[in-house]
Amino acid sequence: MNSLTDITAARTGAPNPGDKRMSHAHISLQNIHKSYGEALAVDRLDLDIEEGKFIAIMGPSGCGKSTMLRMLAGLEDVTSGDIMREGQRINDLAIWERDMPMVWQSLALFPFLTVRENVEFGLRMKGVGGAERRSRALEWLGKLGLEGYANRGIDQLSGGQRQRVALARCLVTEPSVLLLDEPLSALDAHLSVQMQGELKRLQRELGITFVYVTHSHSEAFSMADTVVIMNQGRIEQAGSPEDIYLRPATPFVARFLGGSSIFDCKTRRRKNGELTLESTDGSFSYTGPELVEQDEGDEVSLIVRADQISIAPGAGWAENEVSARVVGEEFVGALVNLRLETAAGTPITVQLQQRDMQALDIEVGASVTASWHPEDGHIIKT
Amino acid sequence: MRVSPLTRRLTVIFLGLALTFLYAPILTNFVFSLNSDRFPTIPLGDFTLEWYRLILADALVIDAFANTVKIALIVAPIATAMGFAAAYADYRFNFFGKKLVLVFALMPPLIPLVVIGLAMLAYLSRIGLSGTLPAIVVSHIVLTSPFAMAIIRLRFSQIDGDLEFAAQNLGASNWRAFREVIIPSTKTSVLAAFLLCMAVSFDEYAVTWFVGGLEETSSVRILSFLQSAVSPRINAIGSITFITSITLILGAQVLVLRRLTRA
Repeated sequence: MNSLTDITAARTGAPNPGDKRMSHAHISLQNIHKSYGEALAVDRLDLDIEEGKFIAIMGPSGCGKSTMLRMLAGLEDVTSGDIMREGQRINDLAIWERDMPMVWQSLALFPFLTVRENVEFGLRMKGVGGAERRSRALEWLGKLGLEGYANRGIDQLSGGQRQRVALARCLVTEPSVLLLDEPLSALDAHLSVQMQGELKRLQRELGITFVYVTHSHSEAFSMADTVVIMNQGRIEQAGSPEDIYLRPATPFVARFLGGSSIFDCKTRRRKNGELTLESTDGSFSYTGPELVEQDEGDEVSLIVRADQISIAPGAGWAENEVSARVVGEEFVGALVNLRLETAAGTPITVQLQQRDMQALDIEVGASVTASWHPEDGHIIKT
Repeated sequence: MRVSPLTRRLTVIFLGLALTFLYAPILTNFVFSLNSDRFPTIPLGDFTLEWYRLILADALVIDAFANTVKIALIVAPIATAMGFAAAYADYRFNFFGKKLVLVFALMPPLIPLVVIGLAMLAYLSRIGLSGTLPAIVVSHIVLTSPFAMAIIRLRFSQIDGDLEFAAQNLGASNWRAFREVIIPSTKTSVLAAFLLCMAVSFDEYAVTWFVGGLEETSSVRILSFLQSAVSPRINAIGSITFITSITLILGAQVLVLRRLTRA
């Protein structure tokens, strides 16, 4: 886990009552529940957000990520639990008292105001005088590369320019936290990548806390200091992008991120620093770092990343071998993602270089042998 | 779209016939109101403003016009306010039974006027209002507010649902956000609704006739004239009423269409 961020995900049971963690967290969600009648949207959620960090919250639709952001902004009531900001409980503050500007998925720019008037809006609500309002708005338009557009209408701007206006409108009041609700989802891929770079740069320069909700892996992993993965109203895993990529905490996280093969196994015996795992696809040996944590007879998931698996036309070359059939291929630049399926129906993903693919002369429907080193892979208790 | 010249010509002819069918009677009405002959016959007699002079000297007609204007000026603001409130509630809130409430709110113009007229008469006479101007006002509000709601709802359906919350998120209180976002976004449609309510109130005669008793509006006056004698004075009143309401309706249309094309 990233040493600079103190993120705690309480996945089971009540949180430790002595564990208040409000000393240095900028924003702290404590045991948050949110239900709509019978339906539970957020379930016993604990999350601390460090000041000045870029935190990305992701998960499938309906996982509660947007609800969480809306609760922070005050757009939704919290059924139970506390939202703390710098040690103060803010549950009961009205939307307009929270000072947490948000970049909306729809952008929600005011169409009847000019670009400058849009940016000035927050300052006007705070009672800042006309001259200062104007100069601060123009300053921010300048910072975001919109100098010549101050007097235009919103409908005269391109998608990327509107995005910047929405950002300027939030940042002009110099908040200490910015909420972003899938802000790039309306942009085309090229523009989205460009804006990701700018957002990250802005966040670093301003040093303010960004809470960024997205369903896009690339957005979350390219910008965030901390990624939070949610599922069914709970946090599955919170940590640095690297941590989550290398060590998914649950089979859900591994599946959600994709690019890994998952084998459901039972641990058999441990001797000489080697663990044997029994699965419907055969038995595998494992010598990786999580070896010591396992007891005999545990139900575990063995996660093997696509880049750790190699394939050969026949068996007898390596230790962990599974024979499988090629069911699909997908070309991504110089790489090929190969989808295989074992006799027991387990899907396997393999990543190969284009030229290796050509050397092997494999096509869809062919039988191959997939294998990986015993020290590779990652074990999750299930 | 590409159409053959024949199809195009036939379409134009058909459209011309349809428009003639719709507007010829009204135009005829207007022409005969300026004709000196006692009966509407061709060839036309001389041009005259005599019939207009006659009705403007008729106390009953003047009273009816005064009533019409008075009623419309009271009905339009109240009906527009009610229509706005209903449309805003629909835009902003979700609540149990919302669809049902909307159906009931939009229903009055779909009920046969005779039925509404009778029901209104029975109810208003029980509370001692029948035969008074307030009775006409109440009935007209019932009939016109659904139109106001429909026009304003159309506008709300084009407004980003997050806009008001975006204003609150930037520090605007509930009332301030309403003033800063909802009022500028809806003001033209509110004006359009206002004009349309006035027009409907101007034209309405069936329910007015039921509940008005001796109080008359201009459309009821036309009816009374028709019952007593055929006179070109009817053409004159009809023309004035028509021009007034078509002006109001066109005004409303222009406002609504301008919004739609800009959006």
